[in-house]
Amino acid sequence: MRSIRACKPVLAVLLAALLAMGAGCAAGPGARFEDRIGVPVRVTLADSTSYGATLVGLKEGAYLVDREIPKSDELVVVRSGGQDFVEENGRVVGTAVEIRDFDVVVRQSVPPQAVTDLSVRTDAYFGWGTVIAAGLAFALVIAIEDI
Amino acid sequence: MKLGSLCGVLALAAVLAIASGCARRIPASELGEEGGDVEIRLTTAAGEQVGGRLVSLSSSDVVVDALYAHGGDVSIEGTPDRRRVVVDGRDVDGQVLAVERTPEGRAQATVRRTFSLNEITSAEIARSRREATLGTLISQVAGPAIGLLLGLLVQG
Repeated sequence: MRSIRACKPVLAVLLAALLAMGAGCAAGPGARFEDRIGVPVRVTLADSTSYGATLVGLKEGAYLVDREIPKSDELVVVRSGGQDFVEENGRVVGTAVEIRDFDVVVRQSVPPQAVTDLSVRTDAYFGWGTVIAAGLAFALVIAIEDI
Repeated sequence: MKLGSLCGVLALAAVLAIASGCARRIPASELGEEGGDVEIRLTTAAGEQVGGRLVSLSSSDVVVDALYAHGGDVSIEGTPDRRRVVVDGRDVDGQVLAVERTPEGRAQATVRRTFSLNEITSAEIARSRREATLGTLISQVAGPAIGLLLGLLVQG
């Protein structure tokens, strides 16, 4: 018990290093432009509905946004012409970028005329990853101390 | 859970909530004025490819601080107070904001250009290198560091 307490600074440093390395495994965006594509935005439509999305570009006069839509019975992915189209209540809402466990990342083409406000979220350095890493580090320190 | 641990968790939540307040929401049409740092690469209907910093994105047009490095088809000409950028023998439309040296020693001009949304065939929009790198560093270091410090503080 006493020896563990004596090693506390060493354990703390080791833990910090492990966590930093673990966080690094999540892979940073890198310096290449292609690896950094997509900025978080909030889209407000003319009918006052608003949603968070990622603005990835423009195509033929429209905004291209990636939106996470939770899986439900109303959401269906249909493959046609080598592309995965996403239908919600029988209406095509975009193409599937990624089908995940709980949601589908849908790429939508949004006409600018339908948008009343498009705001970009910037300087957002803290995300869920930070919270999880902090919680994990905290829990590990408590666990080590309780040995 | 001990009272100390509970206090630690609450403090952790408070610190993260305060820190997340650093994020700002800027209208896309005011990115340049508000100091937003977003990059864009676009291709026009005429086949021109332009890359630089996104200054404004509205329902009708896109304003870009486009970067042109001297060399190849690009030349930066004129006097210091009346610069112009020439690509493939044609003057680039727009206002030359600055001419600077790149770390490689090449002259690079920043030209503010406005494009109609309809003349853009495709464009890709990305976070700035500064924000992307800083975000990764902070998430790698700040999260574990905050948790670690709070854990050590709680245990006394």
